[in-house]
Amino acid sequence: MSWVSDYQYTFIQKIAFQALQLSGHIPHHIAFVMDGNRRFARSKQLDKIEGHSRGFSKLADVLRWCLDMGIREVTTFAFSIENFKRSNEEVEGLFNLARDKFSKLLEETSRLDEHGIRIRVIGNLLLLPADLQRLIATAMLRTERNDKLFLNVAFAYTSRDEITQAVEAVLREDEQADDPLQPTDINERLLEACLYTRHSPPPDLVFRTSGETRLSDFMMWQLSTSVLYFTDVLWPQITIWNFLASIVAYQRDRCRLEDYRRGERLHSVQLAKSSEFYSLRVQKFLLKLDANRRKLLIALASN
Amino acid sequence: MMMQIVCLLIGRLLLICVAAYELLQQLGLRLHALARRSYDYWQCDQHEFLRRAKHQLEKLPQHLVLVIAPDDCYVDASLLKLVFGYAQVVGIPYLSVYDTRTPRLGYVELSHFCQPSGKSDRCYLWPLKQKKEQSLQPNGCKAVAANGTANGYASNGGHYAQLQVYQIGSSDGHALIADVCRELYENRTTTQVQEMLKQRQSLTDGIDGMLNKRLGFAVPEPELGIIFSRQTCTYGLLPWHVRFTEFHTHRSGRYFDAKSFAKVLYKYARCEQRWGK
Repeated sequence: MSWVSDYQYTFIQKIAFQALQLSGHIPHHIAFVMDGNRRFARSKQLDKIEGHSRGFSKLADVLRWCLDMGIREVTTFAFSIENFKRSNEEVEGLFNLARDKFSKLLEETSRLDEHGIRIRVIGNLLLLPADLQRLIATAMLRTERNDKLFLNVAFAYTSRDEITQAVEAVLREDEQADDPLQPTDINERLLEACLYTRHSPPPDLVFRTSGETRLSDFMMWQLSTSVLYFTDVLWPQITIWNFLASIVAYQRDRCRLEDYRRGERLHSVQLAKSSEFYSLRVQKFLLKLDANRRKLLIALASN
Repeated sequence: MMMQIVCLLIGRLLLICVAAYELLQQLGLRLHALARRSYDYWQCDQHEFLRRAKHQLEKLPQHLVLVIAPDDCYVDASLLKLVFGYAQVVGIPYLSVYDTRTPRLGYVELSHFCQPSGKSDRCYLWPLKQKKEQSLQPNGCKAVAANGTANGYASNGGHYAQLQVYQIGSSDGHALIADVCRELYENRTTTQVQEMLKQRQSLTDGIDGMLNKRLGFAVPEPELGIIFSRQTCTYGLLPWHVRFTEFHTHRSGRYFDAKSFAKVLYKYARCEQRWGK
């Protein structure tokens, strides 16, 4: 199963797609909480891992829809740090599924290049088995030049862990550096730039399946201005119509949130100006952060 | 080209239909609110209903958070008092209010009707001690809230503990985490911070403790949130604390009464928190 499916649209679906594309604003970034794989498996009397596998197949369809809709960035919540509490059998099954999918991805990188898809895995990679770390790091490095669709896969991720690592990155700033960070440089703008998603805009729409109305520690920092869309359908059962319904909901709600979002953007710009976010000192620190992250990926890929 | 024009027209028509539906729905909600307001005025003991509902709930949140959208114009002090009263009747001890509006657009200042707890400047107790006695009178439900219901919180004379209420502001979100980070940075050479840096979990616990201290929170994280808005959005509400909060959106303009509150509680009681398992 490929990462991007060859979904065949019916005539009506094509019309609906184009109608939404042409008449309203399309979200730039959508985040998916792919919930309900196990409940789906239970309802169909399948093995849990088969449920997760079906969930992945659905992700391939969803990526195709996003690509065709003109959405530039997709973030999916694949595996939470909290999921380590599940049985060893299930965790190992999920890792095997990830191994399989990332190996496939490396086999079909030419297809990803063709679509311009860049894969970024966000999360604490060091919590994963070494072979999986290698696969993930290789996939990230192999697709790093693509820039049409960004696929962020949250794996071994929680928002708390992400915020903590951002604080940690600031605290570990080299004291002996020529021009170290000043306490006045530290504000929410700087912390935001230290998150795993530092090169992504915040999600415009967060889509959660399976009827749960909580966020389960997913992108808590980034989704403060996002439209949240909850639907009862289980992830492996979502159809293109559920997807289009979420786009309509976004187009409806976006206008009402626009003032608030504008205010937040303005606040962020003012903060960046007043705190010298664009000073050489801060930008050097952020460049070093990027370089260190890339160094880590290269080290993991060559393990 | 022709096809594109047709699609554009269909899209525009769809958006107009959605807008018209929303407008009619809003009108319907206001008419409904008006009708319920008149009905509830004469039937003031909604709390008996809540007391009965309470016995059917398998679990109750310990901490409820109310989020009020920047463009909401239906939530006022009377409605908040009403919700506080409901929370008190069912036995929710902690409640937080995150009002994103400006004073010009209806921001409700809790200090106007709550009593400072003395623990921190954002922590209040409700109801005021002296008012409690007054409203415990058997006929104490004559005051009518802006959305229409009677405003007595314990009309049959039941005795309840004072509710602990927190006022949350926009500076308690991202900015507070940045404040904590700055403080840690200033003290990063100390043994305490160096110990935290040895393990990610220790640092997480350290940040958690410092955030709670600044918020004056000695309470559990909010388990349930009601968003008064026409769309579902957290508006930057405590990104550190609401990771497992169940959110329910109460559409602006829809009538809010004991039944609405009970419905949210029923939904909360039914949902299964798996904590990653």
